[in-house]
Amino acid sequence: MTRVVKNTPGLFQMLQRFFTNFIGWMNGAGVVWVFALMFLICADITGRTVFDSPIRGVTEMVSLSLVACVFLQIAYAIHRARLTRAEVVVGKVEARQPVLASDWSAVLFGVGCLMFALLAVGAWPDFTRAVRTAEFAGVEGIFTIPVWPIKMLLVVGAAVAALECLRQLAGRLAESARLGGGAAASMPRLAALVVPVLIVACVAILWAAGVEQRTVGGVMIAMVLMLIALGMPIAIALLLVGFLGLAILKQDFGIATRTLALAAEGTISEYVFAAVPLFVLMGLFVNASDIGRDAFRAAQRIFGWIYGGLGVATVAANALFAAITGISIASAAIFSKIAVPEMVRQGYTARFAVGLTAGSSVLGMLIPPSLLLIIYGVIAEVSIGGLFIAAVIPGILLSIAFAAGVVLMAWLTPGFVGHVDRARSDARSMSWLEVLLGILPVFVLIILVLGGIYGGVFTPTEAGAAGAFAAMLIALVKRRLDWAKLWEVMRETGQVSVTILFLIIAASTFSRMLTLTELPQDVALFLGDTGLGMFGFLAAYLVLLIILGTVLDSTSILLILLPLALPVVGELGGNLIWFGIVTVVGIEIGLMTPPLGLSVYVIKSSLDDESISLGTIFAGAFPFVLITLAITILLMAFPQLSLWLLGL
Amino acid sequence: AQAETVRLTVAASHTTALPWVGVMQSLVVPESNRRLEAMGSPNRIRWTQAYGGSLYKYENTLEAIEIGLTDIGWVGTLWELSKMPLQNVTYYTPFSNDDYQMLFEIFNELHEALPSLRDAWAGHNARFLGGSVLDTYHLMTNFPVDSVDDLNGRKILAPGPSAAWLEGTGAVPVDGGLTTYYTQIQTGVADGVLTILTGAPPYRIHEVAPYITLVGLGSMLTGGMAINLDTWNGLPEDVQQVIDELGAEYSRGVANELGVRYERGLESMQAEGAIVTTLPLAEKRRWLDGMPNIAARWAELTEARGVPAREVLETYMNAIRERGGAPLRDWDRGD
Ligand code: NA
Ligand code: NA
Repeated sequence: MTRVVKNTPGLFQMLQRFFTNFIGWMNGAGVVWVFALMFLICADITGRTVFDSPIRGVTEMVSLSLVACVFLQIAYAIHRARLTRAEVVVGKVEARQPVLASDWSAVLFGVGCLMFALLAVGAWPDFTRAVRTAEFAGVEGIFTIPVWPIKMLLVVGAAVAALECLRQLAGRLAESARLGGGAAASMPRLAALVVPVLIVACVAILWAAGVEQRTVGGVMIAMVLMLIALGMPIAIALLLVGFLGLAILKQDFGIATRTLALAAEGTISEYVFAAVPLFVLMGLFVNASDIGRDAFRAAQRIFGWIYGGLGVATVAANALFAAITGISIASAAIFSKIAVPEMVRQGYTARFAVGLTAGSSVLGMLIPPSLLLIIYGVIAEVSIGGLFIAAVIPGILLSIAFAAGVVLMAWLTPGFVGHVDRARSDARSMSWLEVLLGILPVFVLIILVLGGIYGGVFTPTEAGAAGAFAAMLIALVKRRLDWAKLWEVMRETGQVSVTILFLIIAASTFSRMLTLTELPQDVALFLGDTGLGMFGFLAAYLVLLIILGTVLDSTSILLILLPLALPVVGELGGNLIWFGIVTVVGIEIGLMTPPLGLSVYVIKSSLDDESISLGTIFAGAFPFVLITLAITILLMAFPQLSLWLLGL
Repeated sequence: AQAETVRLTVAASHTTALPWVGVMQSLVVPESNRRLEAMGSPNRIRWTQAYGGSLYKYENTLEAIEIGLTDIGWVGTLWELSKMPLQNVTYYTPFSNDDYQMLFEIFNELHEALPSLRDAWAGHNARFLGGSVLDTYHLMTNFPVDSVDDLNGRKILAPGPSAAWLEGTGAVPVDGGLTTYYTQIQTGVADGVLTILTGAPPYRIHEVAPYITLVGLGSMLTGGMAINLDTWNGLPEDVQQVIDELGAEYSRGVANELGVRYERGLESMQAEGAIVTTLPLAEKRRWLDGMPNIAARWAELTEARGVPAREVLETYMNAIRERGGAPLRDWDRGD
């Protein structure tokens, strides 16, 4: 191998460079496509409301587009290491056993390569038939589009992703060699192979032994949790174990392979899933337009007179901001830059300032619009609009609880909060007109998006498109958007969305496998029969949310738990909208708990201040963990808090 | 023969609340083992049931059986216009037949008689067991309809092939589904909907579109219960026999359930303030006179793809007439 490289270094490097560029081009195409969807949907809205002529086929086009966008961008996401994974264990190994860590990483890319290759192979027959039979979507004589290009992009995208994994694998092996992993280090290096060997053995035993389906289900759940803990990208772990489980249950690798492709194409090709990229796009435009800073200054002016008022203003600005963005990472990043320095300047301790910022950033996921609620809605098949409305009171409740907590702590625990000096606020000079202008864009977007959904004018997908478009206009008016910034927003939208949508595909594969084991149905019946009741179930569920929340990200928890939990809630007669609200609040706790707390990580990375450690932020956020927990229990106990606005 | 436990998965993209899914759960699954036992067969079926879309969604009802993800399932051919054009002939022949009992019998027989219908399933590694039908389509609107002229300029929800039924009326077809109709009419995206009455009450459509005009655009074949061909070929003979029997009974079970729900639905909506009128025959003829020959157009496009659509169209129309049905237009004759 090395000799080949030595003989033709130019060619090999050229191929490498071309491949990297190719991945970039594919990604660019996907990025532009998502952006175009926003215009298409806005054109449809305008067409039907202003000119009384809807654009026929928008639903079909949007639904089909999503699969294409995901597979155009997935290789780039792998290239940029964007697939979500739990890095806690891996990080520790990396420090002590760099060679082993590098080898293990190679194994993980090997698995990724295998899964994407299987996807490409599984999608191939469907693609060739679509070409052969000129398969179309839509209705002949009214509106049709050929489906082979979408199916081709699935095959090509998966194949390119497999190649990218292969390239990364080679890179890791080279890295191991460079780190001195020669023959002397062969023992630890072999350790990287223990897990794959165990998995193969486990599958072989389950395959041959013909065990009960439920047992297979149990083993598969354990396997996926172990692989996630070992740092396998969560989507890859779910795909792999879903695939293996299907093969065992059906005693057929062919069915399992074709099912991978069916899930990849069939899971997200629905109009409602377009809400994911559109709300991400809206959130990123909102970030770009500096609305956060204006809202914060306005809130300072409004709440500055209270003792601890700056803290209250941080909560209020976060709540306002949350009402126009669906992604909480955004809030954490922005407010750590604008609120933390201001609070420190006015005498708050750094620990409290960062903790409060971490705490109030989780409001973003509860106060609508919310990406988590959208994902819950599509998985549980309940109205996203309904979820948004249901989250309003809980969101306000949590905000008030945070604000009250801040004021109480400022009075009762000055050592923790710091010695606040209100006189140092620079927002006092702000005129009320400035305050009004500062929060005007926020209210425009709230009325457009939430008003549009509540009034029934928009579906959630359309609200996302309209909201993104309006946020873009605001950013343009405020002169915060040039071409470079626009491209950055679009590309980041693509990467965030593709990571989530691909995770949804993977989780769906896993949950289809679980369905075949009948385990979820059995668990539901069992819990329904035991008389444990809704109360017992909720208690156990909350504990699970908190435990998983320590190490997993919110979307993954949602996607892993729901297939098991939803049948139980149905069996116990719980309202699925209410359950969505308590799930999302419960999941938010995990954003603030160690070792993996996403909000805390984001704050750490956007602070640029070495003196504030992760531990400090976690400690500062702890009171807000307790407050969120209390509110979760309150919402569990009183479903009416969530359902009242819906008139249920 | 040696006693055998056959493992079979039965699945559907929709919940058992819908007749064409519910009947699989209430009839096919329990009855199969009862019959095997009564026959003195040593074989039993161990069923794995997965309804409600937990295994696959509505776009994949055919593919899921084809690849063997499920063994038996309900296939919605109405969503497979490209892959299963022939099974959609009813959607291109409106005003032909309101009798859903007659419709499933016709199609179960046509599947025996016409190789092209069976081949369509076999081409997707599936075997047709029994058809599923829908009650006839009517209009629900937020304005009264006394003549077909009242539709002129209105926006009417008519998804899929039913959009063609509005051609010539001057109405604008709007896309949608049962779950979105209510909001779409409430917010003025549409003024009414072409729908089946058994589907309307749970979605409260009559609250926003209280004028129910009984039009009778026709009962439709939506698909049917089918089994993966590899699975079928591996089944013991007596199990095959029982499943075939249950296929025919499945069709009847779905139709009977529809009958019950149709009467109940109409009554309940009327009790809640819906105004029910019947479109006069003369108006229906005027509606048809304005409509281009959508059956001929469909047959031509489909024949161009190498599928014998004309034969199915003619055989279907003949079958209705032979059974004493009275199609308002002979779609297979003239242009
Ligand atoms: Na939000
Ligand atoms: Na955590």
